[in-house]
Formats: sequence, structure tokens, C-alpha cells
Amino acid sequence: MAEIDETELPGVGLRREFTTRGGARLGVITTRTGRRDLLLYDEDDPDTCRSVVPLDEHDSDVLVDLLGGDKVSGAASTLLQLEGLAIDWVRVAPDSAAAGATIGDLRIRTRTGASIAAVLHGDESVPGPGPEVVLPGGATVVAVGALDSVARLAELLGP
Amino acid sequence: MHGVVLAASGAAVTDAFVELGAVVLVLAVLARLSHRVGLSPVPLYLLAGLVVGANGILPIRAAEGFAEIGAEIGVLLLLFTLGLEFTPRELTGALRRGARSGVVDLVLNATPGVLLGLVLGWSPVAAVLLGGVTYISSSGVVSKLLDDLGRLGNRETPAVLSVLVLEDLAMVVLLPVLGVLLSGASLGDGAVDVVVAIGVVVVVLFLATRFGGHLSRAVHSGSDEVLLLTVVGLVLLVGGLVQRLDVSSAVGAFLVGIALSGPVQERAAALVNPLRDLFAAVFFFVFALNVDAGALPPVLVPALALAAVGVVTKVLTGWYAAGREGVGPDGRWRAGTALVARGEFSIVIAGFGVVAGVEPDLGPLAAAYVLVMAVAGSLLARGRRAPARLRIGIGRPGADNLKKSGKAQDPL
Repeated sequence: MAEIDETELPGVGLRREFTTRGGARLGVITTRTGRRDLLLYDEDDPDTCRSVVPLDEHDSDVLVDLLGGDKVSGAASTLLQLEGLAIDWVRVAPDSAAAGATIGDLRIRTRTGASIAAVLHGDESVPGPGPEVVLPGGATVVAVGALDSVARLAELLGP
Repeated sequence: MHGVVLAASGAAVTDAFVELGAVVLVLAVLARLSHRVGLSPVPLYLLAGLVVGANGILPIRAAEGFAEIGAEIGVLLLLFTLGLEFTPRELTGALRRGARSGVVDLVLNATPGVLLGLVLGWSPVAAVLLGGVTYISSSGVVSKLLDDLGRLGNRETPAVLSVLVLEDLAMVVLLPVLGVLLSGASLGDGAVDVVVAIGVVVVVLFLATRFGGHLSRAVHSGSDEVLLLTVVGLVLLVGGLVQRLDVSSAVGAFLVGIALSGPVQERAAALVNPLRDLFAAVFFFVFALNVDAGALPPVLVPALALAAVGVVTKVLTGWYAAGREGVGPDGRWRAGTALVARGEFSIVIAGFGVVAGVEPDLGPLAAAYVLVMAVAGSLLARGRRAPARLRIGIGRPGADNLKKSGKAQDPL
């Protein structure tokens, strides 16, 4: 996967960008209000965007669909968020202190309140993992819980 | 209770309704106009207040008490929604990353105001207030400009936003100090009070970052009605209590905003923003209404001089802040011009001085200054490219690096 640069925009949201294999620079801003801005950087002046396309949640779903993403999971997560519940894909950063530890060692339920519904690593997937399952760096976990529990989990597994 | 209701249906109330309705409708027309042109409505509100104050059309008599309280509520809500914009994590992040740019910003932009105040023979407190007026960019105008001009993705934007965050933080430290200075305490007592005031802010800020999650959960409610009442009640109550400790009530409101986080933060913003727009518009109008029109002409020259300096110092600030992040000359120019706009918070700071009566010329000077800077800022920021003279000889180190490596190194 391409390297994704993350930049926090105080008061606005989060900006993530990467360079395509063809050399174009693309980015997405996720704003607090849920709007997403699709950014295409200018090749002549890489400090600016050639075009900025604002997408509301429906637009984002359509775009994800066109790009071959799974629309159902997106819809499920919106539904769940309405109930105050979040389902999220959280990456275990390779340089995270948590990388390589087991779910039990990390006491994830106790410390974050979030549950891990599955661990995905390479082609392997462990649905409903027990406390003995190791979280290797670079793996992705599917986390379920209250919004802030999932946020705490993301922090724990982050770099 | 019965007596109150009867009294409230009297002729005074009818007059108050007519007065308030007329004023708010005038403000509505101005807001509509400003949206069409794409400028901030704040200078138009000020202009309306000045015009009305000068020739007495639309007199506010019956509604005076309400308008004044409304204006104060406007200040509280402005500060509350400002605090709401940022999470404690963003504040500390901005401090770590852009502290140096923040200091440059403060020194470059507050100094001209303080100096001019002293040159005009004002008291030191009034001069410091004028420094605050020239220092603080309008985060409302600037963030709207960045959004409208499609610049949120630009490389220089995080630097601009960091500067704004640090200004807000500086204001939270500045306001209680000003509160003490304005209360006219003697030098010895004043020093103690300043320390106490800053202590209160630090403690509350610490509690807010530490226990903000608990507050957010306690405030949380599925009902908009419950949430709105809770939040507004909290803002007024904390504001009032903090004011009793001689720290400005606005600081209390800001800290409540900081403490709220997560889903509550977004919903509270959506609910309170319309209220804030209403009361803040009343605040700007009332502020300008109380400015003596006769005092305006003598301060025009100083205000214009200050505006000219203020444009240059903000451009330099943005140039420096964006340069630290490896942005090319065009981006550095954009960062500088984006920061030029001064607006709501300059008026808030001047408002404290006007209420305390430190210097009769402060109100008119601040009003004239903000009028010029809000418009100048909105217009200047539209330029995408740095003037040719700035580009020649500087080269584009940031851009060249990006092109060669084929991958932007994000300096953050």
C-alpha cells in the first residue's frame, strides 16, 4: 500500500494524502461535519490543489462504490453510529507499543471499552478472537464499541 | 409571576419588539448582502451601528437593557463556539508544532498597536488592549476564506490554522490579565491578582483536558432541546462564576467549549451556532452604536496607518510560519494574506476596554481598524500568487524537493 501522510487541521478535521503510482498526488479531508473534500494537487505548484471536490456522505458512498469498495459496510457503520455505537477498522502501527502483544496482555476491553470483532493480517483473518490472539504490527482489527472507546483503542494501537 | 406577565404586556414591550425587530431585520439585510459579495458581515454590522448611532434613526430605548445583555451573551457565545472548534489535543499539538510562529505572530502584530497607543498618550492598559486588537486575526473570516477558496488541502494551511489556534490560546491568557488591569488594581495587588487569574485559567484548562470526557458524557443527551438548554446554561453559569473571580466571563465560556469533545461537540456547535450568530450580530451592532461618531474623524489617520502596518506584519507572520513547513513563495504569500483579516475578536477585546471606560478613542479606533482590515483581508487573500518581486531570487526549495522525490514530505 502507498504511504499515507496524515495532517491534523485544527478546527477542521483530518487530511490524508498519498501519491499514486503514476505520480499524481491525491488527498481527502475528513471534516468534523462529515463532509469530505477530495483533493487533487497541482503538479506545477504542489503546495496547492488543482481541484477540490466536496462530497457529502451520500457522494462518498457513491464514490466508494464506483471504486469497488464495500457499500454495505459503509452503510452499516453509519447506522451504528446513529445509535452511539461505532464499528471501525483500526490498523496496528508497526512501531506501536502494542504490536506483537496478545489481546489479553493488552487488556483491551478493560482499558478501552472496545471489543475486537476480528483481526485481519495479510490473507489471514481471525473472527471473534480470544484473549490469546496476537496483534501483529501492520494488522488491521475490526473494533466495535462506543465512539470514544473505539477512539481510545485507535490511540492504543497507534504509533 | 402573575405580576411579571402583566407588566410584560405593556407598551414598553411593544416598543422593545418594534425596536429589536427593526434592528435585527436591518442586520439580516446586511448579512444577506455580505453573503452575496462573499465578505464577512462583521464590518457591515459595525457600519450599521455607526450610522444608526450617528443620526439616531432606529433609536433603541425600550429595548436597551435587553440589547446590552444580548450583546454580552453574544461575546460569551463567540468565545464558547471558538473553544468548541478545538480539542485539547489540537491545542497542545499546535503549541508543540508552531510555538515559534505563535511568538513571531504575537510580537509582530501586537507591537504596532501597543506602540501607537503609547504614542497617542493612552494609558498602558489601553495601549495593551489596542495591541490585542491589532494582534488577533479573525478566525471566523480566515477559516471561511480558506474553505471558500478551496485551500483546506493546501500545504500552507496547517501553518495558518496553527497560528489561529495559538492566538486563541494567547487570548485566553490575555483576557484574565486584562480583566485584572481593567479593574484598576494597584500594582502590588494587581500582580497577585494576575497570578491568581492565570492560575484559575491553568487549573480549569487542566481540568477541562483531563475530565472533559466526563463533562461531555454528562452533558450528552439524545434530545436537542435538553442539549441546548444544558449547554447554554453551563456557558452562562460558568461565565458568571468565573467573572466573580475577576477572570473575564468570556474565558469561562471558552473553557467550557474546550472541555466538550466528541459527538457532543459537533451537535452543540450545530445547535449553538445560530444563537451565536444572532447575539454576536447584536453585539457588533451595539458596540458600534456606542461609538461616538464625532470621535471617528480624528482617529481615521491613525487607524489607516495601523491598518497598513497590520497588513505587512500579518503577511510576514504567515510568510514565516509557512516557510517553517517548507512551503514555496506562493504558498507563503497565501498564508500571510489569509491571516490579514481582523474581525470579531478585535472588537471583543476593544469591547472590554469600552465597558471599563479606559480610553474614549479606543472604541472608534478599533471600529475603524476592523472595518478596513475585515474588507482588506477578504480581498487580499484572493491572490493565489506572490508578487513577482518576492518570487525572484528566493527560488522554490519546498516545491523542488517535492518534485524530485515524487512524494511530498509532510513536515508535520
